[in-house]
Amino acid sequence: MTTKLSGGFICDPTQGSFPNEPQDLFCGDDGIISSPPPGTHVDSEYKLTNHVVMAGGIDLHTHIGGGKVNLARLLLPELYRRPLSYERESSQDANGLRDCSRPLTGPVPGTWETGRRYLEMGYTACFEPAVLPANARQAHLEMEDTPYLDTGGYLMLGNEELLLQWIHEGVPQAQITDYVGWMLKAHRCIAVKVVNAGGISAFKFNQRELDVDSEHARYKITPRAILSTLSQAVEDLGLAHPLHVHCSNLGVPGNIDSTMATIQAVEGRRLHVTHAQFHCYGKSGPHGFSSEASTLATCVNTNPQLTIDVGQVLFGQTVTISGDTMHQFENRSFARPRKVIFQDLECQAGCGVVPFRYRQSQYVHGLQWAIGLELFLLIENPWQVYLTTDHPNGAPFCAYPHLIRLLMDYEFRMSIFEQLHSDVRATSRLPSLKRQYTLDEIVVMTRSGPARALGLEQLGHLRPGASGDIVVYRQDSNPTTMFSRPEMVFRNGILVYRQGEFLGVSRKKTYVAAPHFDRAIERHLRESWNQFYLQSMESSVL
Amino acid sequence: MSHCHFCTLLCELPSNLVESSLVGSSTHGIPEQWECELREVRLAQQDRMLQRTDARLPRVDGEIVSIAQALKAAKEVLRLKEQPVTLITGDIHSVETSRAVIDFAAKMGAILDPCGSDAAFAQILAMQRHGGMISTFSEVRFRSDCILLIGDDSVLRSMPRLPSVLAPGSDMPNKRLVLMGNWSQSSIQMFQSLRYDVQVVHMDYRNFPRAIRDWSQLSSELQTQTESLASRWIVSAEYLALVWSPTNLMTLANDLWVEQVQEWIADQNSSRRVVGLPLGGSYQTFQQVATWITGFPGRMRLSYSEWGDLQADYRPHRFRAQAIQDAKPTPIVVRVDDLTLTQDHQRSQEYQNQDIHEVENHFIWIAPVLPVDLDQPHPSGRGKFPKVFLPCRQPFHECMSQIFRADSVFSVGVGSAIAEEKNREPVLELMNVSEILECIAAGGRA
Repeated sequence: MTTKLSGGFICDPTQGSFPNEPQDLFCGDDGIISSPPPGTHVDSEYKLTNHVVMAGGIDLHTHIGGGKVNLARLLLPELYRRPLSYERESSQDANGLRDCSRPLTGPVPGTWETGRRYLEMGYTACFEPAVLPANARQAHLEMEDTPYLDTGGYLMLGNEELLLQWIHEGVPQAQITDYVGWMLKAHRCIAVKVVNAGGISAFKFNQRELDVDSEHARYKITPRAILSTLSQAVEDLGLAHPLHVHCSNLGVPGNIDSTMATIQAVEGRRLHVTHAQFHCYGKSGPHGFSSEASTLATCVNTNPQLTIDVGQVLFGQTVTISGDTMHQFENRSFARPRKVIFQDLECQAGCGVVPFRYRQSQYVHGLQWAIGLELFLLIENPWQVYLTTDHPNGAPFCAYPHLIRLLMDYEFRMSIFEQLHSDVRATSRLPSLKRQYTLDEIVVMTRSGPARALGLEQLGHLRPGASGDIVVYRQDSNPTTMFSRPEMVFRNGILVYRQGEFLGVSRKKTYVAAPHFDRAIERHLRESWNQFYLQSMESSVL
Repeated sequence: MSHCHFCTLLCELPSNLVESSLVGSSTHGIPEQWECELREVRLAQQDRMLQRTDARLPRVDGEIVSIAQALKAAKEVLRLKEQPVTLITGDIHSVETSRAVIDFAAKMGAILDPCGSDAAFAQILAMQRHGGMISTFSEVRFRSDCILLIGDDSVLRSMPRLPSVLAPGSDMPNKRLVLMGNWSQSSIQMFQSLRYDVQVVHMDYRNFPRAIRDWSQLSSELQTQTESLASRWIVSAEYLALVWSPTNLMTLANDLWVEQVQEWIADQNSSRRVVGLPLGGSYQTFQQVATWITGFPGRMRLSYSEWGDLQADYRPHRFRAQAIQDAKPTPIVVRVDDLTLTQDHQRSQEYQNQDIHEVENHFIWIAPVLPVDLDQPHPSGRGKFPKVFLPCRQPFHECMSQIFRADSVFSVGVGSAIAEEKNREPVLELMNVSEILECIAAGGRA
């Protein structure tokens, strides 16, 4: 079956700059194909005058499945509201602050809604960044129930008692590399994530702080050692995505020091710093809380092996969910509504769920908003910075069109900045950053960049051989309007969404890594496994 | 390795046990550490029930019919206009069945409240009001230096191998265990034989939240010397784990009991680590699946909107199956039991003596086996057939299925080896629950 999309403006930064001349795009059964010879039969053709055509969006860091996500859903039934139809569509959420494409029914919607809302914005692949080994089956089950989206998960390591014990004992790096490879394969994940290296475990031993060079109370090892070991393992295994790191001291004033120490800890290897906005705070200024976005941005600009996603904060009600129990627990008094869930998990990690309301009038929240935007605007190369809100931690994913407008429209950005706390307005450098993202740069941040970062060769572009995940937007001077609701979305070359209507289901893929490792690791693992885990190694394998 | 699904601990079974469960033979000769009276009894019961071919045939009004006739009759029941409500309930244990009933409920615009929700909602409502600080089996076994198990012997009747699950490994020191509540000597000995140092506090666990909030009050209740030792263990523990089973709680308001315990746990964590480990019952797999698909843990009316969104109307206090069944006019009831025997030991006894007469004409029952004694009707003379009985394959036994462990975090797929064996020698042409529900939804009310 051949499909022709004719006369649209192709926006694919891997092929050249936008705007360009109207072009035709052809799709076959296996994805995008070269222009067929004249006279070739075309099964369906779509005229796309005044439309922009781009690859499906990729969210490389969004919490869409697993135990902590389900706990967050469970915790907050009172924030649920009935879904709105397009006819009743509101341009702003209930707080009047965040113009979402179409508000979600709650801060963490169910899988059904998640898949459909992402597709409604033109996203076709999403990655759950915190898959616990013990909970991997559930995470995959949830992602399987998320319609329309290809999915994948990052395996959370760096706090399992077994690994910490091995590092403490000084086992050879090769043994840990094989362990990481075995765990990735067993739990069907595509990358490795570390959250507050060693800190989640330390909290179980009643340690309330753990800086990069502090020792774990039980294992007498430092986060630096864990980070170095895991980043080496990721390199040795040849994984496409670098170690995905949630740094120490989440949200703590002055945490830029530990963020920079984290970057140094991997000794020049590739590194992805996730939700970086939450990790570049100083402690100067009128409230002992200041922006250090420029410090991190300078580091990224001078280190091409570094990438980040931002974790932008946008105002309104949400819920924060993180494996970082140590720091989530510290923030429990900020919970709105006032209830929290924490969990210690299977000698592997933990999670903390803290509902949160970002308020425009609040100094810290306003500064967080500004810091995220500063990061976006100060990092020169859009291939090194990806657009995320760390859904739902900074804001729900449905706010992406609004965030894109903030990046593309200086006047709009300033119109919100002017409503922030006076001390934010007095101290932030945001007004000086007049950069406006181009459409090409947005496509890099939301498509081509994440695809490259994850090694997904068929995604993020529209060259022959691409997957056939295609989004068609009507051109509009308002990016929020344009990105809120595509005209059409194709999955694997098949039209699945058109003008608000879902046209059927699509095949889904789970992206996994296929690392090579020495199977002899199973002998070492078996010796240590039962010391910590109730389930056998065999039943842990998916 | 496979797993035993007869209680929510989901114990792993060595291969020789899997083989014996395949053929339903006796489990003599198994290693001592795998002995479980509950499993032996359940395995024998299950095999007896599954071997009754006449109880695994479709029926309408008690008469054996073809599957097509039964499906047609089910569709007709679902089209009845005088019944304003369709209720979907039953004992639902697997991820696959949970997914199927959620989709079916949305297509029917039905209220969904599986069995076991009363116990589960004690925990859920407490969490939704106050949150919690919780843990899991491996964590408690490895990390805790003192376990406080609250309840009575019924916990061990439901989960006989709980002491083994939480027992310290051979390389760990003995584990301090405080049993709070009414525990028999045999239970105490069982723990002691597994390297627990045991102290027993004989107090009414219903008073526990009040007592533990006011420590001086608790201390006054801990009068004997041994109980004072228990008190010291609780106070001095670096990682104290409180374990309870909402299914086995017998208090006036279980949700308030749980909430108060959670409040105390939360307070304690400002200076040391204290966690709760609520042991989930048979409802938990459904709870997990319902929450991730709809955003709610159950007790909801589901529908698809005209633009295709899944809509959930969550009423945790109103959409209780029992209350809806008792209402007039009676609802159409679709009961889905995916196991021959429910996991919950206590309810299992009631289940087999269940009187189903009240809803017969509007009652569709989907289960592996019709649990009505065909030869000897219910002694009360009131036991009757459902309007439609549709036999299904049993998850974990006749098809591979997934289920959550009692700590609600770890899930396993169960039954591949068994299902493969069954597929080699199919006894009956049976459909999965999802296939049955898809068929009858096609003709039911929209």
